Amino acid sequence: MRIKVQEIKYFFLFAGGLVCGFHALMTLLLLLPPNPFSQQFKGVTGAYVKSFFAQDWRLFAPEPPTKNFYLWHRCRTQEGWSGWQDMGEQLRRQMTGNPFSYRPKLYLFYGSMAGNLTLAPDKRNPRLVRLADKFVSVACVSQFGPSVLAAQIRSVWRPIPSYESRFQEAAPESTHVVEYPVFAVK
Amino acid sequence: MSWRKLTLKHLPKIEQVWPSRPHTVRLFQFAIYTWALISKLMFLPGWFYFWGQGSLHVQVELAGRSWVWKLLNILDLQGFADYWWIAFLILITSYLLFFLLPYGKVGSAIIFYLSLMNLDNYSRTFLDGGSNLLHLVLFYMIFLAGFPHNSVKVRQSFGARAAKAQVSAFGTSAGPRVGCHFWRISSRWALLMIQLQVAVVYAVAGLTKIRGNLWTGGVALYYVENADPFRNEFLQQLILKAPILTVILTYSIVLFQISFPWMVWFSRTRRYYVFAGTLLHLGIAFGTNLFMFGVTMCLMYLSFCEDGEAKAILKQFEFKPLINWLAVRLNPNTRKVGLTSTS
Repeated sequence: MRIKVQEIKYFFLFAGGLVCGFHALMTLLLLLPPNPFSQQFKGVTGAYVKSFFAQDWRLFAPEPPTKNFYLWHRCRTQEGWSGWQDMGEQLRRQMTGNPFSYRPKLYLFYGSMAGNLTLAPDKRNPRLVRLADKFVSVACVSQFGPSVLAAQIRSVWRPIPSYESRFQEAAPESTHVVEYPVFAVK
Repeated sequence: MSWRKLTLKHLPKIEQVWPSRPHTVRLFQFAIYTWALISKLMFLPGWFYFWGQGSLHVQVELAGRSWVWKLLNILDLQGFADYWWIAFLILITSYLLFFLLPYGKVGSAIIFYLSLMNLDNYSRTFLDGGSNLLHLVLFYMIFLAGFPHNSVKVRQSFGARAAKAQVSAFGTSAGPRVGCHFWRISSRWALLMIQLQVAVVYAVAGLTKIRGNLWTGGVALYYVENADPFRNEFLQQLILKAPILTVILTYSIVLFQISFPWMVWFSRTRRYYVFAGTLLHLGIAFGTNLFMFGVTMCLMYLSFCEDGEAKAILKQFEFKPLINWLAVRLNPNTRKVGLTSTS
């Protein structure tokens, strides 16, 4: 039996509408701020969207960052401990203003890694904690060569002065430091 | 009257008010695939941070995951990590094949998507919103790839046989006629999904921002520009010295993001919203170090172009001598064509 062109078009139009409608509904239910409807279907939307269509559009929302995070490190060689260094400073210096460079990505990664270490232990992303060790090990080896024995990390944060006190110097006591145990560099 | 009969009756009208947009599709494909490739090439000078055994990568547990998940994370499989450069070569090859070959476009689009996802999933800790959006859009773009607008050009340059091959490029048994209708309609849905995705980005960002005290207080931009990873010296000083500018810019961003998902669908307001959005995202790209996200969002607006506008833009980028040179090398019987040559 010869199928009419109109029938074929109708089928594709209808099937496309169903698939796209379902996809759009699932995406919206997962992403919109919590509401009774999305809460009811949380399991289904999570399983569908998070598997292959994971997305998060809360850029600087609900609040922009209100703290600056730093990752200090020091390395131990046969001669003893080096001084504390902030790798962020070095990364920022290397950002030459070329937008097509990979360095801004490294700097953003440094920021998220440093921020993660300041969180309470149960809220930390374990992947980023392990990467911080790796990041510092690579930095120590590139600076002092393969003779590096161990390294240590300090996570440091300072609040951004509130808008009202934007012209005042930040007080030294506003700097918070957490020191992590020494680890061996492999 | 049943829903089916009603749709069939009004099908010509639906096609009239919701036409396929061959030039918009072509412009969007050119812009997004090129940008996706450039955004990966940007990583190459620092490849040792992103890919390979010694990179800043944490192994993901693949046991018990579906085969689709494994297909998107091949570099995470035992012994595959050091072959990331093969994924890179495949990415470049599929890009070239997509634009140079008259057939196999759907296959090229799928391979491009898979190789990019594998490279990005391996360096997932470095990804931002721009990469996230590209992943989603490149998936939708698989359904744009078989759009038979190309077959008109293909028929002109390579003959009817190549045009048929291109239409059934997916390797299905569907004849060119059925395939043609499928891709024509799927391209409309895919383009609509891309537009909806952009609207969703703004709806979520806007609705979340109005819950924040610093955004409703009109000072959020001050904090963004004083956060080290996003700081731009010039903007930071400007915002410090001009409080009125901080308030106006902060409220404008929130207002724009909340209204975009509605206003962009009206032809009268679309142009203004696309212009404002482009300004906003160029500001994000150059003022907050989020270059990739800013440029990706700017390019997303191309999906809202009318066909005539897209045709006018494409004309500016017609590399006729290069296209013709390549086409003649591929087939000596080629008739000379350009990017906008559709009948």
